[in-house]
Amino acid sequence: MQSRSRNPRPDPGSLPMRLTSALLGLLVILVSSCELRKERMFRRSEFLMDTIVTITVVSGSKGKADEAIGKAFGELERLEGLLDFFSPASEISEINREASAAPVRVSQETFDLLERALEVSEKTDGAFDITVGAVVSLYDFQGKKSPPAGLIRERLPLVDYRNVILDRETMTVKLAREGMLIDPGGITKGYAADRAVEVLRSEGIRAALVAVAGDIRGYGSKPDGSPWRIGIRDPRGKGREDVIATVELKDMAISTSGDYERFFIQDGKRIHHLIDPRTGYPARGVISATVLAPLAVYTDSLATALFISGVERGLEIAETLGFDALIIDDEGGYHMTESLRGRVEFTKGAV
Amino acid sequence: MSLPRELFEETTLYDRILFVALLLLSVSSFFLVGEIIPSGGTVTIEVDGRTAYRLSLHDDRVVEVRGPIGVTRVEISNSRVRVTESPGPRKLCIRQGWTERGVIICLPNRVVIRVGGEGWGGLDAISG
Repeated sequence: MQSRSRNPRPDPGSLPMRLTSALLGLLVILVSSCELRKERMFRRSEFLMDTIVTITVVSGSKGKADEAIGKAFGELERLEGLLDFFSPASEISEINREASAAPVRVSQETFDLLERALEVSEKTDGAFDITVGAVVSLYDFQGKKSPPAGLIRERLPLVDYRNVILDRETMTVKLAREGMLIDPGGITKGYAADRAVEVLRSEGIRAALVAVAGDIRGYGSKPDGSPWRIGIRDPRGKGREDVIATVELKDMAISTSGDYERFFIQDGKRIHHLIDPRTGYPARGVISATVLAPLAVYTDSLATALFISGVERGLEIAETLGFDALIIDDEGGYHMTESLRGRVEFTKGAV
Repeated sequence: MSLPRELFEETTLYDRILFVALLLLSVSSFFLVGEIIPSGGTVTIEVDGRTAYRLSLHDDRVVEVRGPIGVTRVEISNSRVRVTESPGPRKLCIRQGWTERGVIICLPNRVVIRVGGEGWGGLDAISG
């Protein structure tokens, strides 16, 4: 006679047991899938500040990402209204209209930004100068026409950052000479990237990348933990997508100035928009200058300054300030600060 | 008797093999999803920040989009994209020529064409 167990064990090969195993496996798959969706990158581009702005954020929630990106774009719109050279309602336009006659009172934010611009001018021997607009406006890049030498000579005395007089006590700006124009366009995009980052941080976004055209600021890392990867445009490449090198960006900003942005060829010479404020003519010797620093307000302005300063002085300025720089000379040679060596991956050899 | 031990004892060898297979499948999905699911086959055309078209990169066609200053004509052919007409004064987006992956921007007409999905070939942004 067969004896029966007091606590009969379920048949391991039975359907319920097999189903239990299968469900357990599916549960593992579901859990791992949820982990995959935990953090994603959300990206949006908008046309602002006369260029394209792209904001990428890392978040586990689309709603939270959308809200933060929306607020960051809102901040950029506010800055555009405040600092745009072409908008008659901006504080910059008010300064250009009235500050040569009498001091113009401005907001703390505009004042601080102008102070920073003058600080960069001071540290770069005037290679970066927000008053260069009086001469740059003589060049017709669309019509491909250079101004006559006499006109450049005539306007050049209006270009001198030392004639922008800031008074912190009264929060006013005065332009020492009539006809002077200030155009902070060489620093506002970087400043805007910094401000957008502040907004995203305050919204609880742990990692983001803000690209105001080529002025880029990133913080944190991507969902897989890797740093942001930025390409540096090939100054003689086929288009914006053609990069000469890549660099990793973590809690840093990067900007590049090149002679390919606005230019025309005249008598075999490239007439580009990076005008040396000290001569009134396009700077020669460099075709691209890239700067990496903690704040985009500095990389934006210093990329221009280093381009204009030339290879030797440009690297000296970057080393003195403790920033990283890559300069490409007009023969295609690469020059970089010691601190940058080993951190740039070149996709093309020096020409 | 603890539950895991009980479960272990009450499953057959085949149950355990099935469980391990499912576990391996789920772990491998972390690494394989990106490889198995095809990506980079789309062309997205945005006008003024809004998506106007999302098209296959592999279907040849010509598309016209109207931006703030006029019409931009986009051609898709042989899994490549180019702009053939643009009202921008400098025609930079036309000069860019054929693109297989990346972004074409017609700034004056506020048209952005993303080719082959997001990004610029593994890069997050381009400086310059």
